Amino acid sequence: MTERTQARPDGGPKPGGNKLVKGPGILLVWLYGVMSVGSVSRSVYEVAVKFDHAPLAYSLSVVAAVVYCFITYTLVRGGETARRAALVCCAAELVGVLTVGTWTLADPGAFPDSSVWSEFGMGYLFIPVLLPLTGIAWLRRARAA
Amino acid sequence: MVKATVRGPAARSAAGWGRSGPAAERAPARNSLGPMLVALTVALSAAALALAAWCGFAAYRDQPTKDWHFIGMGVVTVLALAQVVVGVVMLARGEKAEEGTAIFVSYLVGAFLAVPAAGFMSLVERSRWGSAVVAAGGVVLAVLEVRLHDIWTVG
Repeated sequence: MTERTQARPDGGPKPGGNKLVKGPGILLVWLYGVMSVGSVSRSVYEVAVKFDHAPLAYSLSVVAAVVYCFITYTLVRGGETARRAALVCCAAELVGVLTVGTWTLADPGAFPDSSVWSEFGMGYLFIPVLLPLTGIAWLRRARAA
Repeated sequence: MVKATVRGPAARSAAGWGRSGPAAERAPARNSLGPMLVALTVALSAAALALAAWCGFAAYRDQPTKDWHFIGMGVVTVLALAQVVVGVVMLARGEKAEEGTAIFVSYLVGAFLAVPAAGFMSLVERSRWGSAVVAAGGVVLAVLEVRLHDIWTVG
């Protein structure tokens, strides 16, 4: 996947500036990749096997999975458009984590089972709330470079 | 659910094999895989955390992953492969994971792939950040091992 990014360095106006998988970016891609695999497999299982048990929580897990996959894809793809898209998605992710986190604490009755973003991502060592902050910082610095 | 209340190889042997009474206690050798899975889980958690510390130190010293790091990753991967084999054999023998076979198998596969995937990424990124990826991979593996243990025993 990284080779594809390297194969077309002329994907944007600044060849050096739009590689999002360089340096600290690779760590970000790894963490987003792990979250993607984790949330996709989790939500596929939940929706396929026991969706009726907690429809709200499982639907929100699907949303989280889609967001993680999209951000991973944009980071690997690189380029200015992808960088902007990733920035928007990281912001959406942060809003999502904060909303769902607050929601699960305020109205636990609506969640018979937990979602990926329940309790601000406590089940994932709070990575869901830390990752978008790191991501936004990195994507802003990538523009400056 | 019943198994959650009984622990230890003897209980597992009786519950897992449908044997009861003195016969099960006289032939514990046939079911030596339960403790083996636990031993592998503990060994893998320790090895993964050691790998994470080692590669984290390399990242701290601004170094990429070296040959010795890859040997370390190889050791962890071999352990993870052994765990996959033991886990699948236990399922094939008719034992059940408390949270279900699908979840157990997907965690086994995920645990097996975590460190090699991080290793390949550190080959692409020859800087301290490649080492940081492997360190993160080790932490991920350790977390997966804890979950794996829960999936097998607690439910």
